[in-house]
Amino acid sequence: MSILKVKNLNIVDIKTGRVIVKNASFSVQEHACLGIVGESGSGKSITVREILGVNPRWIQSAGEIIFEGRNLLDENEKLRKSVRGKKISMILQDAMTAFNPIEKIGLQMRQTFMQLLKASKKEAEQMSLAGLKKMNFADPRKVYKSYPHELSGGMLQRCMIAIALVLQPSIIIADEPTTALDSINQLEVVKQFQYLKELSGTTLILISHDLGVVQRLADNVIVMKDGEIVEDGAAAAVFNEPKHPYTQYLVETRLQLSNSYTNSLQNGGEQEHDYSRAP
Amino acid sequence: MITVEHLKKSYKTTGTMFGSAKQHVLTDVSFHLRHGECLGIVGESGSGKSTLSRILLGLERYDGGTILIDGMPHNKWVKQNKGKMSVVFQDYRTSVNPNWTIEQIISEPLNMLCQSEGGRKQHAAIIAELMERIQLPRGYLHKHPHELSGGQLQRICIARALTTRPRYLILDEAISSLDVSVQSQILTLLKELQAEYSLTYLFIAHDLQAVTYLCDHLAFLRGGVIIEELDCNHIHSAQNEYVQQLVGSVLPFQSAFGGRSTERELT
Repeated sequence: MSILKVKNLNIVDIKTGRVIVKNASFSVQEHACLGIVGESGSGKSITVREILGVNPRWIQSAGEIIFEGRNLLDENEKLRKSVRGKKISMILQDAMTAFNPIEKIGLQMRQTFMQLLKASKKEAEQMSLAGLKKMNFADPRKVYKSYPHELSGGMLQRCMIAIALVLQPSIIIADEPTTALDSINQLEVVKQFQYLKELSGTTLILISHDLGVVQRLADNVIVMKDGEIVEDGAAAAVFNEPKHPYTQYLVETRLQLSNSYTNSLQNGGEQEHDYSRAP
Repeated sequence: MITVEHLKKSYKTTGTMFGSAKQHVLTDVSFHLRHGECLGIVGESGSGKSTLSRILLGLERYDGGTILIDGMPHNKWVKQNKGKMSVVFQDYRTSVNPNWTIEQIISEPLNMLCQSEGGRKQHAAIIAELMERIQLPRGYLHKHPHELSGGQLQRICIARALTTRPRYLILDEAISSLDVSVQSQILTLLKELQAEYSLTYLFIAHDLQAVTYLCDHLAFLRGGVIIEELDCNHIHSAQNEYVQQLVGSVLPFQSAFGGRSTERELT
């Protein structure tokens, strides 16, 4: 069952007259993960921001975004605000700048819940700690009392996921959630998303230019190039039998990188028992 | 050949009330870089990778240890071999002058080495050859940096680094801020250039997949110390716990596309 439908979405920058997204149509299945891949400047972020309605004023759009039987693009700001955060949440690329540096993590989490869920201060605190606990923090209370600069990028990203987890939105949008992280933290965040998917069955929209991350999480994939969707389908089909030349190019270039790594790992694996050659 | 032994570097930290405290960036770094090889230095942010590259370039002094290049002490070699060690930085947008044309940008190192009128003609030939080598049309020479995409501009930076025919090229996170698809194009180009100009690379990066694509050897830097040195083919048998964690955390991409089968599960 599809939970969100985008039909013939066109997005134009009226300042420059440039068409950013051309005739995009796709649907998001419930309890599944949709991956959006493409190079920078292909219109991935603009598209999901239009779903939330947080694009600047000079970005105009036409078409339909159907969520809960309503076209979000026709609705007023009040209704869109009630959807934003509570029903559709977004996890941003740069967790370092997404949190306010002069307030403690706990206060920021609490405020979010008090405002969106109308929780009392005490309830909000309990919710925050429960959320942090689910994100596998060894000491949730310590994180709760930390300032953003005291935590690593990966930990902050997990705090952000914890907020999304407590809000229990119908859809979570993750915009390049792993790009700013090193590989150890990247794996950790990917694992948290997998856990989130299994635990709550949330619908996830994942934007990334790294096909490795998308392959781990996504059930369905759409490929964007210069504002157009050039290919869509099940993740396995798109990655194993890419049809559009652009998808083939993306897969091929990514494979080049991965293959050398897998080869060296395999070589190492074969020599694993040869202790005389190990350094 | 570059030989680095027991290299030390610390910075003074400001803000202390009594005297100045020292922050040790590199505590004990030793490695060899043989001619024609590519050594990858892998480490997380703050591990001292970039400090190491700046010291090798002679942009910064070091506090202790020795650096020998081709058997010569470092400072002597740097003075006698101008332009023989080049660098490509991570941030291509800020490492070029936005007011200059691409031609001015590429010819800057040449003009600094040789100002004579006869040299100018040679310079044009060198630039033409390099533009062809990095697969950009000659017409791009009259463009400005903002008209080029990230990948194109990084290629210009590589060409600029090669104008003086260096023996050593330091790539300081040179591909980290590019898209994955462009990354692999640049890596392929670097591999071809290495064979053609018999270059020796020092490749500084945090992405293991990119490093293994280009390099023969790897050195893992953490907290100012090289914690492990490995052959690229031996990453599976890493001893250090942190290195094992790093190796295990890579998310390889698998696809049956193009007849290449990578079915083996690597988790």
